[in-house]
Amino acid sequence: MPNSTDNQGSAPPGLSSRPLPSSFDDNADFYNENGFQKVSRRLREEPLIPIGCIATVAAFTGAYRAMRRGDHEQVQRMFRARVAAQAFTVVAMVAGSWYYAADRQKQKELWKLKEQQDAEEKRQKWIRELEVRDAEDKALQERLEKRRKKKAERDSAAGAPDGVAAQAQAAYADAKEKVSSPAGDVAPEDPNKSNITGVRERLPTWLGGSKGADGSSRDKN
Amino acid sequence: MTNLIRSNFQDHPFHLVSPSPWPLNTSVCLLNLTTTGALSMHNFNNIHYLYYIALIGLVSAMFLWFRDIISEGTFLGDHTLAVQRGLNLGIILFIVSEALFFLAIFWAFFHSALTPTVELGAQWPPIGIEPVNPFELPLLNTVILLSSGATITYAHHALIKGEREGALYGSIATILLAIIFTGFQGVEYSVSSFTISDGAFGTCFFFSTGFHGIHVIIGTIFLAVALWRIFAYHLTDNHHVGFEGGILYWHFVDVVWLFLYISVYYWGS
Repeated sequence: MPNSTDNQGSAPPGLSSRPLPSSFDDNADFYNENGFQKVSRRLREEPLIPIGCIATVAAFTGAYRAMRRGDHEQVQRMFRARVAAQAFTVVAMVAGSWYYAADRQKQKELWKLKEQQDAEEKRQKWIRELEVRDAEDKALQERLEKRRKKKAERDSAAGAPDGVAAQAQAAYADAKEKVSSPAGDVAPEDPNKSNITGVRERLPTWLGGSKGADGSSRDKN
Repeated sequence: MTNLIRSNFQDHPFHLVSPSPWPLNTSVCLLNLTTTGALSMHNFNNIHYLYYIALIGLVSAMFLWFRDIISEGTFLGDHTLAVQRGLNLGIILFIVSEALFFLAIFWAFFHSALTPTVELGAQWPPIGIEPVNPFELPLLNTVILLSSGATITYAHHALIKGEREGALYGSIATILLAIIFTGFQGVEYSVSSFTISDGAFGTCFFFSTGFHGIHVIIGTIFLAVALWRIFAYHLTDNHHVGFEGGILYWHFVDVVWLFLYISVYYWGS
């Protein structure tokens, strides 16, 4: 909600060129206002509404007091005043919303823009994460392939071993290699990014726990 | 003058009512209504049948009690000026208790709306809630209710000037506008994108507007009874406590709508 009309004149022409567009960047009170401040800001923005409300209630109590006295003419006058005061309040409200329409529309667009920005940022982060994972996976495959080739060369150089025992020994060594390699051997490309197991541990949170991620991003709003 | 004869004349302005079963009857019905209502809200088997019985009992007791009051006031002439003042006091106590009831509802609303918790996204209306646009159907409803205030004021004016037709037509117009208002509220409820179970917003919205709707229905019945009493020549240009009470109640309901419209529909969306 815009604070007052003075924001209308100083609106920047290119909203998207600003890092985080908001009319209230220099107005910390807007983000931190408490309940009482919120109410008083509303009342200051549209002072005719509370005035109309007070007049309406006053006319209503006046009608009751006249009724207690048995003064039907005064009751009638107060009823008319009540309807008039309420009509005034409603008209003031409609006029106020019309007066602030541009301000409020702008504010709504700013909110939307910021929300979009947050979403885009989150998407980019996720894409980066996937790319890192992909690179890690490729590196792993490459190393395995290299090892397999090296072993095949070694074996061919030493002369193919024959017999069932030798084949079993080879298969065992192969399996052992596969088991031990992923965790320890692969050096991460980026020190900030975790290795494969780390990513897998986080995976459920990334996919299922989007709530927490949403909450934290929205808190900043 | 013997005591027996004197007992037929009340040489004081007050109305000492004859023994009546309705206060006790109503008390029993009210206790049953709250007990069975609370139990049925906690899913006790078949208790809602007792709830409906208690409700029917309460409505019948009210009907018969009000019938007695009408016969005492209109046909027995017991409602002297002092009694009328007492009835007026009863009306204002009723309206004050209603006002405090709505104060509690507004308190609940402002408690949630002014400092929205982090679960709501720290904003009001909460994240994911699409509130009703206040300048569509609610504005029309506001105008309808305000017009009904004007028509009932016209009916009152006509009555105190002794114009029977104006009083009748004004009341009929008011009741029609009230029914249209209630119908539009029903439309708004049926097309709203949220329900009463949608967090603090849905709860406060339907809690406040729903109870206001119930009060509109009660006020409509109040004015319909008054309309029938005008039609049946019960009310005169200077003795119409029931009608004036009904009008005051109607204005009260309208004022509550103004506050609802400003805080829940306009500032709260």
